[in-house]
Amino acid sequence: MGPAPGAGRPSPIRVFGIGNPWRRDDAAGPVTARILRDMHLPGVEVREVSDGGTTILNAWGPSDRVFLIDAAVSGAPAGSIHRIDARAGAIPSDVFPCSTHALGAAEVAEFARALGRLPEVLVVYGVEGCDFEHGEGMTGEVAGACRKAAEEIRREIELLGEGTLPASGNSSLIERGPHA
Amino acid sequence: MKSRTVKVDYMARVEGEGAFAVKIAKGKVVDAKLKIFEPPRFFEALLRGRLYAEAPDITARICGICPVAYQMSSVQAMESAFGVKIDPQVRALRRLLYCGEWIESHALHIYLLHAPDFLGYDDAIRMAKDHPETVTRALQLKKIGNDVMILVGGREIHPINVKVGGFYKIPTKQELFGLVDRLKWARDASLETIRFTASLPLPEFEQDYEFVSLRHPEEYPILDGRLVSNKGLDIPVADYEHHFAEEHVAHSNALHSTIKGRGMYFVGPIARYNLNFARLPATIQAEARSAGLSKECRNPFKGIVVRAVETLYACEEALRLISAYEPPGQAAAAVEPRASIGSGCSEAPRGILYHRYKLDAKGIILDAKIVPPTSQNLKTIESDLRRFVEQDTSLPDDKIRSGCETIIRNYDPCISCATHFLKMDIRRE
Repeated sequence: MGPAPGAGRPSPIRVFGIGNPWRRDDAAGPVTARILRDMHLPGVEVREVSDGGTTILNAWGPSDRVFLIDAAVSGAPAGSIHRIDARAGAIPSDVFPCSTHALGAAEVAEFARALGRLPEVLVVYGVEGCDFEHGEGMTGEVAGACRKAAEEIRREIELLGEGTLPASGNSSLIERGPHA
Repeated sequence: MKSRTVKVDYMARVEGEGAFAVKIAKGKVVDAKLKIFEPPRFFEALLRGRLYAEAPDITARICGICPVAYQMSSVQAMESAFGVKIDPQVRALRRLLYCGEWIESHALHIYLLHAPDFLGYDDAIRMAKDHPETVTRALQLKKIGNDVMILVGGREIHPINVKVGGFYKIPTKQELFGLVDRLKWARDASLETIRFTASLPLPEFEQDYEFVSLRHPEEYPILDGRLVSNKGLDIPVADYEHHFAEEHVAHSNALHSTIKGRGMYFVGPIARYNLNFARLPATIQAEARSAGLSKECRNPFKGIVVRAVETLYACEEALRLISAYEPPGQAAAAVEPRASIGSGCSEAPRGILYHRYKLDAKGIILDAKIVPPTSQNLKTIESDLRRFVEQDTSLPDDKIRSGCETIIRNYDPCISCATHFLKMDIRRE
């Protein structure tokens, strides 16, 4: 059978912040997305996702440019920022946490790859966390890194608008020190 | 035999976190426990002192998969307490909203959580590599259920349009008709889903269960009805606590439910199906039979097939409700609080969800009781685990582990509802 009628809506640039705002540093994705939303970037749709991630897979088309932001737990110092070009290869399995009942950024990207539904650009940003206990409020290093990650994504979006960033590039994993 | 331990620290593809432990001594299972270690969330306590009108939005937060169930059970409990009569079209819209939840929840569980067990995959991503069309169908089907929830409920997760007495805003006929083409596609996808589940290699496994569900005089039960079982239970919802008890067990932060004097029971799609087969349209009965189901199913592994049958029903029922829809004169009936006690029960995707509230004259909640379906299935799951492992205790640990995980997923447990959930520990002595 064919695709569901009306599935998929074209839009140039989409940003998804994935995570649970009530599990401390797991809020890094939604918080970074909120910062980007407050920048009111033209033509950019920003969404916070805390519902399990499957809805994201239906939310982009093949020509979209997509940024996913999630908390990371690779063992790097809290506040480190990872940037991974998902089109260039599989997301390293030891960067993002596994959830028992939700899809994180890495799983969403790998799901899309398995289904042949990778968008034109798919960049995954991970903000290294260290506290995933119950409650609101991130550690200082992670909160600072969210602001830094948002700024980096804004710069990438500007470059995309100028057409100076390639649609896909080599996989890169950038780890930096904390941005407290 | 030397003792040995097998562990699954966090079981995937269930809603929430917890642990499972089975102890085997001299070839016999001497203990089987679901250890639910997530801290309780105290929703019943935090509802005390809140206004009746807040209950649907507060309780919806218990679950991101089945928030409509919480909203429907809570509003019906409040309406029962205050003697509020609901416009039939408001009731139809509620049923439509609930169909959306059944579609999205069943599609998620059938394809992404449970099918990998029977096809030999660790997860749905690996399954998607070999079966991309199947998984794409699942995601589209789930999305259509979500779209129904967005239109009627205001958003797909924790809908915001439900209130005691009705809705804040009612959709127009035109808005609902906008869903028809997609629901027709979903109906066809559900037929494919039935065929897909019927083709899975499902183990033979049966116990003498007591099935409990709602039963409505005419409809397949979703919103309301009497509570019935295959062992003679037939009571109004208001009598629930006379017949059912909750108990705390040391290994679980979720309470275990029992039928007083009889013990464990079984809620969910198989219970609904067995107790309400006659209320399914003949065409859907025929589809169920063509999938190998008789009018009674006692094999919990076939729950995945029954879920597919219910998904087809939810799509057809949604189309029927839209076709018959006439916007109600008022979005919501007037509500006048009074000192009273009210109870409500509806069929969450995983089974009956009971709410009871005690209210003062201003509608302030004095006491609340919420019994989610997963709590009601916990004893039955433990019993299934024990029986399953007893069938052949000489199996290697990985076979026992995967079989036990599949059994647990037969019940689509929502541990976030029951409190939270899975770590597995098999001890052999």
